[in-house]
Amino acid sequence: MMITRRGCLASAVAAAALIAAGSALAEGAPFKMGLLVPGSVSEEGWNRIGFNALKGVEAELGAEVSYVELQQNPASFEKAFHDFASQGYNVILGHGFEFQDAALAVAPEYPDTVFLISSSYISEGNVIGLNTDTSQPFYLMGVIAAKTGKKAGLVGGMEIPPIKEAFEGFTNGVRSVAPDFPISEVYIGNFTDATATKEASLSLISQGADFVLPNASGATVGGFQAAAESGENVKTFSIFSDFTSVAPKNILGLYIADYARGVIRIVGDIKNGKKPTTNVEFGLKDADVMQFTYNDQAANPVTENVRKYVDEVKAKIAAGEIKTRQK
Amino acid sequence: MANSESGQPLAVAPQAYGALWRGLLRPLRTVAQPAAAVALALACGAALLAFNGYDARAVIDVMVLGVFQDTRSIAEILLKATPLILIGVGLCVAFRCSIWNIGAEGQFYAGAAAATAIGVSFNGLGAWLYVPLVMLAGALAGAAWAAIAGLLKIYFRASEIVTTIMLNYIALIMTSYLVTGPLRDAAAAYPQSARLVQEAWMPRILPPTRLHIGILVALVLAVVMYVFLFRSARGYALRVVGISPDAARYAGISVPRNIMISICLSGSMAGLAGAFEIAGVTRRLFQSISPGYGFEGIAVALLANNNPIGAIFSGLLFAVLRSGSELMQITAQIPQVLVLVIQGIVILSVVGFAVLRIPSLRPSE
Repeated sequence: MMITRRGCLASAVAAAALIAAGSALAEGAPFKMGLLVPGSVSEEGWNRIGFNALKGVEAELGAEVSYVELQQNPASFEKAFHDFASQGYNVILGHGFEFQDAALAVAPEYPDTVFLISSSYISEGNVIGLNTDTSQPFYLMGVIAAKTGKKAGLVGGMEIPPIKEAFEGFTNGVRSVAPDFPISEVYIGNFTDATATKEASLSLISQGADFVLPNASGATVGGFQAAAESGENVKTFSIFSDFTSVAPKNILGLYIADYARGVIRIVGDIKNGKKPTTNVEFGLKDADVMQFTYNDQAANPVTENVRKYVDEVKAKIAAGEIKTRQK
Repeated sequence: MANSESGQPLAVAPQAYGALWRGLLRPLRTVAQPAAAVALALACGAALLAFNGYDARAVIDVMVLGVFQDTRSIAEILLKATPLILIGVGLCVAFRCSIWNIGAEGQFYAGAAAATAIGVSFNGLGAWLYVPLVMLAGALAGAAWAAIAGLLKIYFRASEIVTTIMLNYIALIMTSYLVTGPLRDAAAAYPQSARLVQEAWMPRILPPTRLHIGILVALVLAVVMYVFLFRSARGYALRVVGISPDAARYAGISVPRNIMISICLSGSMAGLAGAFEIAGVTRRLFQSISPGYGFEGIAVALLANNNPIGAIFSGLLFAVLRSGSELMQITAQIPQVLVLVIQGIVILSVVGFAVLRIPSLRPSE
């Protein structure tokens, strides 16, 4: 078995050398990272996030990188992990929970390779889950909503864990300030129909909500359009990207997640011989990954008092004193 | 391949040579056109790579080296070929009856869903009973799904091309429903079924690789279907219906009956492929369990000129291309779209060469 594997490694390296035409081999074994994505990296969205992380590792850590697009085909996952690992890749990122099973099956054969899995809580040997705890920034938004508004409306894409966890954090944040503060929650059933998000938000606003928060990936923008059309007293929060231009008067602040920064940091640690020993959860403690800022151009900007209070809450969350959601 | 329906090698001396030559030439001719189509397509693909600034020669080296580098790589090819061969062989039967079953994808899903439903339900059955049961569930579900289109054709003259395509979508949506609803693994955060009970797993034949008994079943069924189509009276009747339904009717051959036989056979093969994919490879049902095997199976049958033995080889070819495409991405950074274009060219040139062949395909006038 060992001989075969060594043989296959040798032939793979030889094969790579044929095309690489680089002098990488002369410098000794280069640090290599591979990426598995469940779709095309040429479109904005989930797969691009993984690709950006890979490109960041290439640029900042000088790693050799490569990726494979697998089009939601579970049968091919194991083989792709083998293909990378047998060619001596040091880190392989499976970008999505769906890669977890395949990584677990392959990992024992390649103890020197670290298998990172996005959206996973796994921690088994050299398979490490990476996660962004969105409930934390949403908890802060809940605090702000309860401090500044009368009723909150949440518009989600589909009822899947990342969305539900975010809203759970928001609700807990609201409850920490005002236990009886009314919150309505609506799901549009997809992640693409911005008009549906807008309609749902408008309907929540007409029912008295003065703080609306959309969270529907590509369809999120509809919520900001609804806020902009409903007057300056409707407040909202820009999430994941900067939507300030859509509703400059309504957006109280920005939560921006930079997953690539987190991945670069973890992979950098691995390169320096510091493999994570548990699953990694990025939160407010990781200021490079999660940025939480305010929009001073808003019609009713968040007051200094509230900001001070939010900072205290944020520090407590980062220190692990406040739990933003059930684990 | 061995399409020699003639062949009486034991004739008198002078004719014997002629018969022998014909016996040798005939399979050669059968192979020549698909081989030429593939060669042309690969040449186009190499040109395309070169045009896009890749070293085509090196890429081909990587692909050949990588795809056949060790036991595991070869096992992976056979693993990928299993559903393609099964579906392709089934479609050979349907197409020989001129039933244009475009619904193998849906039948694959139906088989996968049924195999999962059975495979997660029982405990302590023992593999010797459970494994055949899962296979049977897949095959029956695939056949039942295909039968809907067959009945619609017989009773309402609904084109099976349209109905089988539509049924694909229904099967896909029903699978999504199953993995988000009744079959969902409560412990998993994302939509997927529970893992199959271990006794229901397809036995692996080449550990530590993932290769399972499905490939053997596929090979046996290809031979069985070849014998059925070209060496049995029922198969003959089925082909007569395919060439001319009117002539079949005149000869007392039941057209509806043969339509049902052909579409259900092809459906059961696709369903069986689905069962193998679940119980042999993924061991869970996912929303997107097939990367398009059902559609690729059409190309497999087409390249094989609807000959089940040929489908073994065309299935293997497509599996190599698929396997190679992943490797080309990883080792040569060739974007997947370019690989898909090359696969598309293979299919186009196969179809192109099939057009050359039309006079021999057309019913004699």
